[in-house]
Amino acid sequence: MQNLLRLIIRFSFQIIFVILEVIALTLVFQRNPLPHARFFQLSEDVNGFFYTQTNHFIRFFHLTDENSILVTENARLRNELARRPLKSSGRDSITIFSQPGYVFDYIPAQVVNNSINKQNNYITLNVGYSQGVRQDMGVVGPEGIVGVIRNVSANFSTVISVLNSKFKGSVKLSSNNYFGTLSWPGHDYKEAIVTEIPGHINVYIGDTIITSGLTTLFPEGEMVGRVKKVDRTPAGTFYELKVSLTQDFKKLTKVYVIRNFNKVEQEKLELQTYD
Amino acid sequence: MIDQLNRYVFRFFLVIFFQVLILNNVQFSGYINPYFYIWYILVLPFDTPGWVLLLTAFFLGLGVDVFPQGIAGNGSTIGTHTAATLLIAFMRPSVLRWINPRGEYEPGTYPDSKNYGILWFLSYAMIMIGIHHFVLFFLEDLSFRDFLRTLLRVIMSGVFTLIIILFWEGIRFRIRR
Repeated sequence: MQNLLRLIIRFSFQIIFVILEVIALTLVFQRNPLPHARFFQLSEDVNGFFYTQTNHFIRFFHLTDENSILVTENARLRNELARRPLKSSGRDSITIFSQPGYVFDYIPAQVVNNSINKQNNYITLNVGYSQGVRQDMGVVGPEGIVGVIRNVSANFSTVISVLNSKFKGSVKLSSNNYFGTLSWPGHDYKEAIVTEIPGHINVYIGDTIITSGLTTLFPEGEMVGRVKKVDRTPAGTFYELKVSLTQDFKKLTKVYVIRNFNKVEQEKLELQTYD
Repeated sequence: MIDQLNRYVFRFFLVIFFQVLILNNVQFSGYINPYFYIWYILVLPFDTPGWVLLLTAFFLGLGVDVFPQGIAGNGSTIGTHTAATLLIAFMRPSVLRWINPRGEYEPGTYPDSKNYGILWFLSYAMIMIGIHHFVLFFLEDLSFRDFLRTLLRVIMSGVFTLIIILFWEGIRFRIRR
């Protein structure tokens, strides 16, 4: 017994190291989502507080930039509104917005933390379930799509950025509506790839890539990027397009979370079908 | 004694906040991410007891970990800083013994550039930063798939960490004089 005790004291440095390192590595390799989720619920609000504070300060320096982006966005929206044919439904009727046609709405949000230099990048927003944000909602910026909501706390939420190896998005070529999958190869924050575009069509450099509307995340036609380089897969049956993203993730400050009112209904029906 | 303890506690929080509020927001390019906070482990006094060294490293790493650069859900990289920092704290006595500048370290001195010269400190810091960054970036990636790219990140970030640490040591020099 005494020998054992002496041994423990003698190797206490090694023993403490092993114990602590095991704790740390358990955190790293923790695959069970629940403790993680708990941990992040806790740390998200703490972090959110800090990042909001620093952001209040930093935001001042970007006000001019931000304004000009918002002005251009406003102009684009106004143009869109002007081009939309007026639906006159008789003089004394009220337009009902809950009918098809009013499926999406946009929750404005502020980016309070953002990274672009990891293999898996995440963004934190200052809106959470109190503001109507739920998991798996799409997020767009003023210049293009940004990502998908991952975790939500009371007043903050985290976003899987487009710049994340786990991000997959359904997109299409605006000129001919052929759709493919958007993903990020993981080195350049300005560049993503689109795969699964069939090889028999013509693809032009500079063609715009927009969201396809085939998932419940994004409405059809949100801006994604422009074709930069056209490659073929080895077998030649599909294209692999290099796309320059229109949204500059380095200056991301204001974004919109997209709420889809038909999401639950659509997904429920689809789930029944696939079973 | 109490005075010194206070200074180290203050420095502990200073280093964490400097790391998470400033350096984590400085993104030089896709590859470069300096992790200055390990300087704290480098210059702890020689006579720091082993358990203090390890516990300090553990909480320092954890402190940096709870402010992840990209807050993550599943498969996040929480714990990587803790694991890497613990490892260099564990290796510290061996590394110090290994790069011993002829004879013993004098009692009452610190392992910094002021006491043992810039060249000694450079090799000491390089070894420690190398181990730390290697473990950190590979744990973050959790694979050897893009081995060369991750290695490039290790080297480039390591160089920047070293530059910031040396710069900081330089500033301390000036103030002390």
